[in-house]
Amino acid sequence: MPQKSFRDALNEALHLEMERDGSIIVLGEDVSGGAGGTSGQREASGGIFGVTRGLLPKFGADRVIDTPISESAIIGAAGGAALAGLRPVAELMFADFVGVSMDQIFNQMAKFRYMFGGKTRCPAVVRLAMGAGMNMGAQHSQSIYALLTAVPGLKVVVPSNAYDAKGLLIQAIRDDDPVMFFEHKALYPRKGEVPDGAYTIPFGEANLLREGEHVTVVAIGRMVVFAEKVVDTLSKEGITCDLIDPRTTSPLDDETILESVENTGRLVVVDESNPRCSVAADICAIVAEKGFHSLKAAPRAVTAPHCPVPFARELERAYVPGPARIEAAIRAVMKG
Amino acid sequence: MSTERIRPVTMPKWGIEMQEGTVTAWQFELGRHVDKGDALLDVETEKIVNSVESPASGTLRRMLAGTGDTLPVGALVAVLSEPDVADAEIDAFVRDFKPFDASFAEGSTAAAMTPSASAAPAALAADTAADGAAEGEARVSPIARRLAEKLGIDLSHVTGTGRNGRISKEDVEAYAATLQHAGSPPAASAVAATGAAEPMKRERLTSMRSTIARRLSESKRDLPHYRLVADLDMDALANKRAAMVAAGESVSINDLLLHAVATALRQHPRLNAQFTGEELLQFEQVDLAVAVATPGGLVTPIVRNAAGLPVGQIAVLVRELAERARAGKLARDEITGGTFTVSNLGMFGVRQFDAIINPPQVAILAIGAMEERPVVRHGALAVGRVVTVTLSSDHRVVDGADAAAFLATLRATVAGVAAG
Amino acid sequence: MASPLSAERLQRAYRQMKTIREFEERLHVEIATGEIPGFTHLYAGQEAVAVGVCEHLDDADYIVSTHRGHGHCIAKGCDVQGMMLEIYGRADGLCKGKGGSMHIADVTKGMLGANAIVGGGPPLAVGAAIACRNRGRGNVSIAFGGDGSCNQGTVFEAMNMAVVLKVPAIFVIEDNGYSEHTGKDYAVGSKDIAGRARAFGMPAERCDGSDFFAVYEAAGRLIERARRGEGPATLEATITRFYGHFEGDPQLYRAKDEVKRQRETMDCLKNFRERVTAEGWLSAAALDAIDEQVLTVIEAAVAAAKSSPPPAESELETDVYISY
Repeated sequence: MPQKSFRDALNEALHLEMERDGSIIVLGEDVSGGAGGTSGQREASGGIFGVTRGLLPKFGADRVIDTPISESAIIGAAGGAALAGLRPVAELMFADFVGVSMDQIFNQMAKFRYMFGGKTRCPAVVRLAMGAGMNMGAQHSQSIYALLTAVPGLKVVVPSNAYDAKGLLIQAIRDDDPVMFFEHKALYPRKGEVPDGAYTIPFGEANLLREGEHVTVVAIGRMVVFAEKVVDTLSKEGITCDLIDPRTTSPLDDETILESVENTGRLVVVDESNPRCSVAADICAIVAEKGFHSLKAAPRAVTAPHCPVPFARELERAYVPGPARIEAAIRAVMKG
Repeated sequence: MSTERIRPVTMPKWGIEMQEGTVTAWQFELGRHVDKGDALLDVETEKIVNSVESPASGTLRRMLAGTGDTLPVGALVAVLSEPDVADAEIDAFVRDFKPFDASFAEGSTAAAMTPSASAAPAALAADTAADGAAEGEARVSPIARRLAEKLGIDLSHVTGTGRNGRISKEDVEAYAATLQHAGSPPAASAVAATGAAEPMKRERLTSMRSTIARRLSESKRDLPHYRLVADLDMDALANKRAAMVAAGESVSINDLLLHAVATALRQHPRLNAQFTGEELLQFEQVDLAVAVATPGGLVTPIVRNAAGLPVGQIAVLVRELAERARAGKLARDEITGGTFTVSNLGMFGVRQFDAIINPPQVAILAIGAMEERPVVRHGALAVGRVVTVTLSSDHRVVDGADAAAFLATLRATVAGVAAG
Repeated sequence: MASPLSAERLQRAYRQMKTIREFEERLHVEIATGEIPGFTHLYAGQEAVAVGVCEHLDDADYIVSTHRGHGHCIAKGCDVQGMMLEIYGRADGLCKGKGGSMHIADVTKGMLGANAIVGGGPPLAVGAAIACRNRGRGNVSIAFGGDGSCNQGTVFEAMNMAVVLKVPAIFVIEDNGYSEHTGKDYAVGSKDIAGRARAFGMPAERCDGSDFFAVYEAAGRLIERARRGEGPATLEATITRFYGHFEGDPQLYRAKDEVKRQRETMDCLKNFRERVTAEGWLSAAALDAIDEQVLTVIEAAVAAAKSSPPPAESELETDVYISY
C-alpha cells in the first residue's frame, strides 16, 4: 500500500471529490495563490500548507476561489453558498482565525437547520490548521476545537494520521451538516499507508489503536503520535493500554471509551488544548458520570497549561504535552 | 371575552423582559370618549415610561388601576365600550375576564428528553466501509469486536443496540449470556493476563441486580433497623397442615404462617404501613410481599388482601407468583405497593436470621426453619416443634412496644390455630 | 404617461405592500397583549423597498434579510399564514416554531432567512451569489441591510469580496435614519452610505424609499446588470420606520410628532395610491378591494395562529443535525 503524507492524503481527498461532484467548491486565502501578482503565475502556493495544490488548474477559478483576507466573508460565503445548494470547502488558514469569523460559524452555519425548522441544509466544510510546536506564537498555534465541539449543530473532526485524514475529509465533504475539520500543522508531513481510491470513515466511531488491560488512554490529534510511543514502551514493562483515538469530538464515541474503562478501570486523556473546558475535561466528566463504578482511580487529563502558547523554543516544548508527561500520568493512575 | 361593543385595555408587553407595569398617570376620565390610538394612560416599567395607546374607540367605562398601582402584563387595566352598554354587562365582562399569562415559562420537567443520538437520522452516505471491513459486515465498537473475538462469538448473530445501532460490548455480553443459558459451551471468561492478578470469574451486575444492590444499601443505611426475636410454638399449625394435606389441599407450613401473619397484622395496623419519610400510611388491607429467590436475585411478589383469603388460596397464589418470579414474568404492579414482607429461609435449615426492610414498608419478618426442640411446658421438659422468627422494624415509626405486641399476637395466633 | 408595469403587476405590487403594512400593523396590536414571545421588529413604513426590489425576483433568486425581516419575507413570496404562525411560535409555523420572528426563513422561495446578527446577512448573500454565478442561469442574490448594518465590518468584507469575485450580489441599504436608538447622522461618519459602497468598486445609487416606482426602476437596472454578469451593486433607499427599533421601544430618540408627520409625508402606500389614481393606471375601487382582501387574509392568519398548537416537547432536540 502506498505511503503518503497527511497533507497529500488531504489533497487527494479534495481532488477525488471535486472530480466526482461539480457542486464542490474550495475557497480561502491563497488556496491557489498568485492572484493579482506581477509574475503572472497562478497557483503560486496551492494553499499555505500545500493542501489545495493542483486544484485551480484542474477545476478553474469558479470552483477554486482565492479570497481577500476577510474571514467573516469567507466563512459567511461558505454558509450562504451551502444554503444555495453548493458544497463549499472553506479554509481558515490558521484555526486561531476562528475569532474573526466566529459569528458565521456558531450563530449562522451551526444554527440554520434548527432555526429554519429542519427545512434546509448547510453542507459546508471549514478546514482549520491548528496546533503548537512550530514556534508560530500565541495567535497561530492554538488547538481550539473544544470551543466548537460545544456548539450544537456543528460536527468537529480531528484526524491523527494520513489514512484517517483522507477518509474523514471525504466523509466531511459528503456529510450534509456543517463540519469543522481540524488539521494539526505538525502532522502534515507525516506519512502513512493510504489507499488510492475514495473511502469514508464514519463520524462518531473511535479507532482502537492498541489493546490492553490496565489503562484506557484517549488521545486527540497529534497527541496520538506521542501516546502510541508511550503505550508501546510501557507494554514492554507489562503495563498494557487500550489506546483510543476518537477521530471526531462531535459526535463523540463515548461508548467505546466507556466500554474500555469498564475493562481497565483507569483513564488518561491526552489533549493539546488548555485545560479548562477542554475536550479532555469533557471526556473525564463523561466517564466520571457514566462509568464511575468502573473506575479504580481518578481520571487524569494531560493537557497544555492554562497559558497562551509561548514563543521561545524551550517554553513551547514545555507547553506541548509530550511523551514524558503522558507516561507519568499512566503510571500515576496505575498507583490508584 | 371582548365583543365589538366592549373592548378591554390590558397592561401591554413592551420588550422581551417586561413582566409588569406601574400606572403613573391617566390621560382620560371615566365616561369620556376615547379615539383609537389616543394615549390613554402612562405606564412605567423598570426601564421606560411610555403611553398605552387605546386599541379602539369608545367610552371609558372602567379604570381598574389607580396611579401607583402595579399590574402584571396582560392584566385588565381599563374597559372601553359603546355608550349604550349597560353597567351590569360591563361588570360581567370584568368579572369574567381572563388575563393572559405572559410570564416566562419555567424549565420543563421534560421526562421525554431523548439523548442527542436519537435526533432524526437520515442514512449516512458511507460509500465503502471503513478500515478495510468487508461490505455488509455489522458495525461494531472496537471493544465489542475484541470481546467477540475473545469469546468466539459470531457477530452476525448479535443485535446492535449501541451508538447509532452499532454492536456494543453490552450487546455481545448479552448474547454470550443467552448462549450460556441455552447450555452451549460456556464462554471462555478467563482473561489471559500478562503479569497482573485477575479474578477467576468476572460477573458484571445486571441492571436488576444493581437495582437490588442499591436499594438494599439505602435501606440498611437510612432506616434505623432494630430486631425482636421470638419463638413460635408450631404444634397446632403443623397439625393443621397435616390435616389439610390429608384432605387433599396442598399447603406448606409457610402458607399457614403467611395467613397467621396477615391475620395478626389486621390487629396491628402500625406495622401494616408505608412510611413516606413524612407521613405514615396505615392500611386496612394486608398486601403481603413474599420473598422469592430467583436466578436474577431476590424479588418480593405480593399477595393482595392476604388477611381476607383462606389459606388454600394463599398457597395457590404464592406458588403461582413464585413460578412466574423465577421465570422473570412478574408485572410491575405485582411487585410494588406491598405493606409488609415475609422472608423464609427455613427450607435451607437456617434457624434464625435478620432481614432488611423493603422501603417504604416499615417492618419485615424473617422466618427460620421449623425444628424439633426441647421445650418446657407446665414445668416439664417436652419436645416441641418451634420456629424462630425475627421481626426487623423501622424505629422512626415503630416503637418496640408496638413491634412486641405484634409478635405476641402472632405467637398467640399460631399457637391457637384450630385443627379443623 | 404609460405605466411602467401592467395593471396586473401594479395590483400585485400594491397587494404585496398592503399585506406587509397590515401584517405589521396587526402585529403591533397583538404583541402588546403579551401573547407573542420574544423580540419583534416591525417593517411598517418601508414596504416600497422590499416590494420594489423583490418584484424583480423569482424563486430561484436569493435574498437575505435582517432582524426586521417580515417585509422582505412577504415580498419574496413566503406564506403569510405560515409566517404568522412562526411569529407566534406554533408547531405549524414556517420554521416549526423554532426560529421565530428574527429567524424566519423559507429556502424553497429563495429566502435565506431573517438574521438576528446585524451584518450577518451580507456574507451569506455573497455565498449565494457565488452559487448563482457558477450555475450560470443569471440568478442574483440580494442582501438587505440597514443604515445600522453598514458600519459592521462583515458588510465591508462582503462588499469587497463581491467586487473581487464579481458575483451577482446586490446590497440594498434601507436607510431609515436609525440604528437602534442612534441616528444615522451620528453613526455614519461619512454621512454617505452609497459613497462607501462606491469606494469598494461597485456602482451605488440612491433613491427615495417611499416611492415604489423610484425603487422599482433603480433596482431593476442594477439587478439586470448583475444578471448579465457585470457584477455587484448597491442601492441606498431613504425611508422611515413607523414603529420603534423593537416593539416596546418608547422611541425617546425621536421627536414627538416625527412619526405622525412621516405617516403623512413618507407613507409609500399613500404615495402609490395617489400616483396610480392620478395617472389613471388603477382605480381607487380596485385598490379598496385589495385593501379588504388583505385584511381578510391577515385576520385569518391571526385567528389560525391563536388557535394553533405549540411544538411538542419531543421536537426540542430534533433538526439539530441531519444525522449524528
